[in-house]
Amino acid sequence: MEFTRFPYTFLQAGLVFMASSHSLPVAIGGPPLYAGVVPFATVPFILVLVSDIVYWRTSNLFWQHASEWLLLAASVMGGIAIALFLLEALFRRSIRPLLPGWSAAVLFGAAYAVGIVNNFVHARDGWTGVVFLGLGLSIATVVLLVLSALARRAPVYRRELGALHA
Amino acid sequence: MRNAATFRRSTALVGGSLALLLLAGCNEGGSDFDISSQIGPDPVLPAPQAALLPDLKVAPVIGWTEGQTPSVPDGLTVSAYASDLAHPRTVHTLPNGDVLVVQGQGPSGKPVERPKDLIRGFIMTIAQGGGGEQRESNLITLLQDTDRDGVVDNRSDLLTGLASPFGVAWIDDTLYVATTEAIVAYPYRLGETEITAEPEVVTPLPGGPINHHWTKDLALSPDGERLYVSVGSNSNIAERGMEAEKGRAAIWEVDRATGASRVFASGLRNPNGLTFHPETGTLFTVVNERDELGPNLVPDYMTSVQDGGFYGWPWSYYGDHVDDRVHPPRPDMVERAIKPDYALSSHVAALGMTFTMGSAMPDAYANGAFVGEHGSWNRGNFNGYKVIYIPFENGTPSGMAEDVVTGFLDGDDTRGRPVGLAIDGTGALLVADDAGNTVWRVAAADGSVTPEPIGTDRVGAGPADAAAAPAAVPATEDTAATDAGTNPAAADSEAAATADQEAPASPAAADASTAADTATPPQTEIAPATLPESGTQ
Repeated sequence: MEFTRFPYTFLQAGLVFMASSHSLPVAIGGPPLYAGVVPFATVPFILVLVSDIVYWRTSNLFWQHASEWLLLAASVMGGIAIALFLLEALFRRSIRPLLPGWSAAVLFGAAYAVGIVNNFVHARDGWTGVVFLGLGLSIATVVLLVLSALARRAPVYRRELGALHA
Repeated sequence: MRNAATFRRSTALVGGSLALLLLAGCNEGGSDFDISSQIGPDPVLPAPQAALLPDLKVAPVIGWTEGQTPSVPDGLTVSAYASDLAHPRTVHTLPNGDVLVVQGQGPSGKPVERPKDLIRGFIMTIAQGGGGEQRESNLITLLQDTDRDGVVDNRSDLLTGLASPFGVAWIDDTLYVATTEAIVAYPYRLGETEITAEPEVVTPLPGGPINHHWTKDLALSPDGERLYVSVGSNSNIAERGMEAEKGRAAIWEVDRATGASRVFASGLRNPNGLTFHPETGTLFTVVNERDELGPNLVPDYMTSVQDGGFYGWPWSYYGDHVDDRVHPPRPDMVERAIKPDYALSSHVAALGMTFTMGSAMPDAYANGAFVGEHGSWNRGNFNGYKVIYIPFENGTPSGMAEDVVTGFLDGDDTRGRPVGLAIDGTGALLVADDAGNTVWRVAAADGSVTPEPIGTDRVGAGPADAAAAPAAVPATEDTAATDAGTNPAAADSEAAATADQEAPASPAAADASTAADTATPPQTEIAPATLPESGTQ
């Protein structure tokens, strides 16, 4: 089994998960499923920042509402990703070496938490729901997501040193 | 591992700031705040609070059991005037003492623009009394008490299947009904128990598809010539954009002969309970102010309404208190904003009022106004859910409000919620209780009755021209600058005579004087887009 840094698509991951779910918690093959879901949270979180900036510059309500729906989508998919991650960390012993280090996981969790808070800030009526607290939280979310992605590189680096086979 | 150390540090940093943020979101809820400091002409206005989750406490409706009533102080008695109604919102007494009960429910099908709209809709259904079988609402029921003993002798449904009606007025054998989308007129003679004629549209009103504050209240001017109709805002603080607020958050003046309309006063977020003071002829209203600034902002209020007056919404509240959630800011409009007369405290949701002069209520309530408070949802402790009395002196509110009808709340549940008020044909107070599906009658315990019925619209009472002429002068400081020829009061007197004119002189002239106040008028003062093709008669 070869580890790939390119996450499987959600569909592939879902099929593998469905095929293998009956045999949990027995260790099975395949990549970590959560990794296929993470982009579905990361991308909308980044788009929230984009639409927040556009709203700040244009005052066009469409962008405020876009941010709110994107935040909702990111929150739902992020929740699924975190739940999958925890399940896999607990029940799929075989893939544990492939899981990211605790720092990447915690950073993603922090980004997600800020994103959840941002839902409520964006739900406020009017301009101040975005400018500047909502926009600030959107920036914080994206910064944490980038840090989390950087942290995920560590296991790969360690594997080249042979750490994976320890 | 230098990297790991960096990550650890930044994680701690993020965690710390997150905790701070959550702390900032929690507030005390102001449970030790003295609510009475927000009742009267000069309310205490704390700093705005922005909680992570807006304070929310909704009272589920449990209804009244047989024989159960609200409470009233000594000297008064309370009884059910009519029950088994379908969400009664307004009570209106006709000149012969018959009572109209307007029962209405808000229109459905509001577009979902944000995730919040889904949640909000769900919460509001709890407070409406969702449980149990609901009769079909949106009808007007006639209650007749022919022997004037305070008990309804005859009951008939006059009109059914209306489009969310709220306000009514009657004059010259014509019943005017303000539905949520138009003022319509039906031929109706006093005493008749059915209406079969088709209605005529007097003037269209801003309705759907959003129609956030949908209740359109109606009052007839003391000279009987014009109708005043309230049009609530389409949002909390214009967060749906100013395009949605055209002609809204305003009271319109409508010439009932032609349907010609203009914005009489604006910046009133959700005005209801339009009532003319019986002695001075000044128009009064109760207004629901904005939400989500904390449990003790912004106090709802009762105010006299000046011709051309602007009362702040959405840019400011209580005069020059700027609401920074509204973008772009309008310092010019904030400067124009009139501070209302009398605060009722925050989130009480006052929806109805009636003056007591000439009623058969005891002396303690002889010279003032009753106000019906529907009750709060945007605060941790309930406020409102009662009818209060505000004493008046020389035509203005003076002195502390006192509770009159209470006992609607039962712990964290509510049995009913008061809305519209009226003095019935015998001089007793009627309270429409929408959640409790009842109209309550509150009368003097000694059985006093007025010698003659007094209608809710007191045509001919007070100085007949007081509503139009003097009110017009103080409101528009710049009127003099425009020029004497376009004085709206002068033009008004001719309006009735020019029924066949396409655009009567009165509204046009008045709009010109309003526009002169500011080079860029608020969108809320934009006059209706359509005029009816012909008059009603």
